[in-house]
Amino acid sequence: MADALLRLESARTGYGPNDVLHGVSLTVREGEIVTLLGGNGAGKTTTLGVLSGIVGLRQGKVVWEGRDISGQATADRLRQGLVLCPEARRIFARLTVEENLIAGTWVRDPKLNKAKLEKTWERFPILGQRRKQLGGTLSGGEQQMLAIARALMGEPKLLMLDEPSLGLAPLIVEQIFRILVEINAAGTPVLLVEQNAHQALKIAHRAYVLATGEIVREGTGSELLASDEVRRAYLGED
Amino acid sequence: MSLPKNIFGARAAILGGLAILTAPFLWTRLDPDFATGFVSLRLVPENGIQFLSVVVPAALVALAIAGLGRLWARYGSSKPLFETASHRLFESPRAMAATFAALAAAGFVMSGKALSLGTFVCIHMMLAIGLNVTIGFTGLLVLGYAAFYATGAYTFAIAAHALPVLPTWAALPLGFTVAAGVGFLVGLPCLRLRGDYLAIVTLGFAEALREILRNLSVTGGDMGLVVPMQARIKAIGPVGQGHASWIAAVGVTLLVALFVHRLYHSRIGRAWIAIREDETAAAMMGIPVVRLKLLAFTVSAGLAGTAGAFFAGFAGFVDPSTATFEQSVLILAMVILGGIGSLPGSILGAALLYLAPTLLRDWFPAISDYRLFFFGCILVAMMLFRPQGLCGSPRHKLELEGAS
Repeated sequence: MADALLRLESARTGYGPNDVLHGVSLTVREGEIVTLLGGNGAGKTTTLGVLSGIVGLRQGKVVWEGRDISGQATADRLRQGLVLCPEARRIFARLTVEENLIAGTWVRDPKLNKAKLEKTWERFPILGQRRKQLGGTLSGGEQQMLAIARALMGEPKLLMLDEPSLGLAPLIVEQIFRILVEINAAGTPVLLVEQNAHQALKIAHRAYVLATGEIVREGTGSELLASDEVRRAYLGED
Repeated sequence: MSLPKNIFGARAAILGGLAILTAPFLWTRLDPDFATGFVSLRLVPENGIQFLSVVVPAALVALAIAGLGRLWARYGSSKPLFETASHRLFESPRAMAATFAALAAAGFVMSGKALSLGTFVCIHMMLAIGLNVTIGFTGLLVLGYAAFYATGAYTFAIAAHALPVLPTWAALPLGFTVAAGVGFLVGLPCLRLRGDYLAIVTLGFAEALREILRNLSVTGGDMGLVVPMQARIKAIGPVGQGHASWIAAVGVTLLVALFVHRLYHSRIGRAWIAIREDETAAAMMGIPVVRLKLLAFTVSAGLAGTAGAFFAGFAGFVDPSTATFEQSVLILAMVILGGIGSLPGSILGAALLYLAPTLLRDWFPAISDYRLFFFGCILVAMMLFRPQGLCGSPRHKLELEGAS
């Protein structure tokens, strides 16, 4: 078994008096696509918050490449290649496409490496065409691509994505997921948080199901795709 | 500057209603009789006539400009005339340098009074440009900006008294450093928080500072301080004091504008805009949000201090009125009128808003008491008809026009 790149160990946290996560553990290894499924309020975004350092832990720890990074700030984690592509895209509407990408390099690459932009235009030709356009004028799908491209500018060793399919048409979702598979094939492990279970499980090597702050199931993508429980809860089948 | 399509529509009705409500106050005056306790209403027709003699021609001029703008839009370029002109004049460092050089040269055909007025305009340009760094670029509201203006002015006045050898040019670094330091200390506790705490804190700071200035002996109390002659801007050879001040003012304004232009187009400037757009997302990118907000506010306070110290060296006196709320609002109004986030806008807004009340006072003394009322009307009209300001930032334009 390959060494774990990222390990979350019995994480417990919450907001105010209430706990949201009641001891969540998960692992991502080199080369994997791992999907974290869960309904609204299950604690998916909080889990990513804990991993990226935006949300503090009450118990448990985050282990990155064998070291405990629970106390580290977001910027320090970014510096080590732990990059989050946030929920609802959160691109900068009044920065141009190019400036949005440059914003993603703040920590890793203060003196902008132009070759990285060129690589982005190659991978996302549509963004290249719109490089001087303001982020806010892009369509939803293009904005999601921009958000992913911006995260890639941070040279992730692990790319975490929070619901990249949110609010997008099925065809666009397929396109986005194809991009994720390509990124993974090029050597970057991916931790994908999704509600769109069907698509997400199809591309995942392994998956976890999160419900009310606890991991209730775990298995390979195809195992979960075949499980009655998951089919009922997430795929709308009886 | 296009005319609203529904000139008789809801917006016009609001403005008309405001005008009707305020008209009686212009035509009449309430005279309280303290002996009897009665208040009598006295008609003051000359005020009303003065009012109309300003408003009617002003409305005609506005209509003419709007008409020209329409013609320009139809036959000229798609961009409004006014905006095109001011962007051309101030868009690049080279254009700015040329424009300011022309302004400096124009000083030699200006009268003493015009030169002094022009110098004050330049001081307000520095202030508006400086405030734009926090409000426009970084999206932080500052309501007591005049406090840093006063800090710079008093710093230089007190230093010139303490150190009789202090040269005039020392005003600039001294004003910048001390005001920036004060800004840093004021910003430190409240910039860690989100939301408009900075607005409240700076507002309170300005009010407190004014009271302190009024009550300390080292600041001269209500009378303020006279700046010693040796520290003031003086005549240099054949160039008189008025011309020297004007050229120095234009030069310093250009420096301030170039400095802010460089910052805006740097990595830091882009990060400021990112913070304004979405603070959380910026933090997720690892952008040090608190540090950069503090930097913006410190630079902004420093620029106000530079303007204040220049003012002290030019006017030769400082008094607590530099730190009034009215002064802060005036600078804020300049930034909004010109266009939030736009450097040419700040320059333009400062010129218009400083000149308008002064000219009003000279030409129509009877109604200059109402200049705050006009301010209000202008700001309301701007928010209704042109929220991006006279000369909105290129980002707003880009947003409205889409692909370029």
